[in-house]
Amino acid sequence: MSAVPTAPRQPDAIAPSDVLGSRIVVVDDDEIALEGTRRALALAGFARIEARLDARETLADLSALGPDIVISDLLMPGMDGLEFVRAIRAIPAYEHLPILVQTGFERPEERAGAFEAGASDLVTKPISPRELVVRVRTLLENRRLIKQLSVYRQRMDEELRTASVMQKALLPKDKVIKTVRRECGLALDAVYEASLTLGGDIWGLAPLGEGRALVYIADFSGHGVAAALNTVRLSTFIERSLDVSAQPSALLDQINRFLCGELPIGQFATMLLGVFDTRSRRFAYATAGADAPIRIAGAARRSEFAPVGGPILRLSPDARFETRSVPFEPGDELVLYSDGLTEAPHADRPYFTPAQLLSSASEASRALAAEGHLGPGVATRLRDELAGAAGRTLTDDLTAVSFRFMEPESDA
Amino acid sequence: MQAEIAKGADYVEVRLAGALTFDDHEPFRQLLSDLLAAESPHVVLELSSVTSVDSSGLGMFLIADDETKRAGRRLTLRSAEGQVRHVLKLSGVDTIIAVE
Repeated sequence: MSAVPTAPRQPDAIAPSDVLGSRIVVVDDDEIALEGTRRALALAGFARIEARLDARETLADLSALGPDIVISDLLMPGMDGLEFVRAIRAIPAYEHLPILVQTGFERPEERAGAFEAGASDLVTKPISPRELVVRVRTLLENRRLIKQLSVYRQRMDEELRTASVMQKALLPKDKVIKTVRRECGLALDAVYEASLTLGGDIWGLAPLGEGRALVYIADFSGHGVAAALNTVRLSTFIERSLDVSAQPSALLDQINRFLCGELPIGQFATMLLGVFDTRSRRFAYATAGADAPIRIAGAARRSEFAPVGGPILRLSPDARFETRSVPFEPGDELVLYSDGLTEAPHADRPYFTPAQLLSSASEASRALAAEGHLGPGVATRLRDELAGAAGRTLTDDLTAVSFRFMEPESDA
Repeated sequence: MQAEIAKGADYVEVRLAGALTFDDHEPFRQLLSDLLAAESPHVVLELSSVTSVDSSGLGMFLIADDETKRAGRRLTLRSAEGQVRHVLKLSGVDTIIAVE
């Protein structure tokens, strides 16, 4: 899944006219040498050459001249070549401007000094017109290719950002979250972060009526564009084709058979799908290679993992899944998460070991209760703790969703 | 990922080492085609020095299994330890591919 789309069109064959139309600024205090350089370039077909005798004046005019390349002598009265090169490099717009330095020096340390000052290349005087032209052309062609690449990159970044907005639009909308809160008494907190602009994680929510709500969280293998496309396939299938009246295990079975028909070998997903039933006060769920959800209960806010099992999706169309259920009483919380939470490293080891995760979940739940359930939920608090310990850079997609069964008396 | 190939009488074994991740996809594909080119009926991935495997790494095992089967050979994952062993079991991949 490392395939990156290639540029849709080949870079143009390097048309001579492209480079020959470049603006060249030549600076040399020696009129004869200056004319020699100008002439060599003009004979090679370059049409826009500005020949200057004074470096300081040229520097003052530089933005008006708008050079594509600067050719400068080194030994000059007033502002010398090295000073001139350093002054150009200090201007942010000219950070990557090709600068070709002409020098009579042969000693390696003096040549090194020119490169240290910021020269892109160097020709030795007396100049050979052929060598000069070849070096100028090469520098200009490189500049053009770099510009082309940066335009391409910019466009890809824009497209990825657009796609990322589209992907986030697949996640449950505020309206759905509010409906579930109203109909089921479930307060929800969610974190969704992609490591590469686009992610392979997705989660969803749907009110089923009669105090029930369906929730799922899935994590496709790999990350980036291919994994993100798979999240679209899954979300569309669940929305359009899933018969949600069935048991969680039967729903996973439907999804597994769908993915077996869609995904190539080597791509797969882990998933948890469950139904909150706030009347019978249970959470019934089935899992496919997913991490165990955390249930937080009681006055002490004790955390434990709910049992899981079942193979990853797309492993085999004959795979069997099991419906399990855990009590879910008013005041209880349930946390679902992708392995981006548990595998994020800190000093070469996962930060959230199972024991650490349980104790942090309890702590987060206690803090939330102490704040009168007004602050961020358990999912956000776990993410913040991880970010504080392991740093902000994600190597995997991270999704965490926590549900709190509101108690009528304290949440009224 | 590092890899070292050894050929026996009726098997070809590759010892993998390090973390098996997203970035190893291309080298792994190449490795797989080298292994199949060895024409041994039995392909063994020796995993005792593999420190971790992510979802892309697990996907590579599934691709290896598929390609060895297509070529009429069989694949064994040998000596997985720690996180790797855990992931093979949790994912159910150990029900599809022979794990020793």
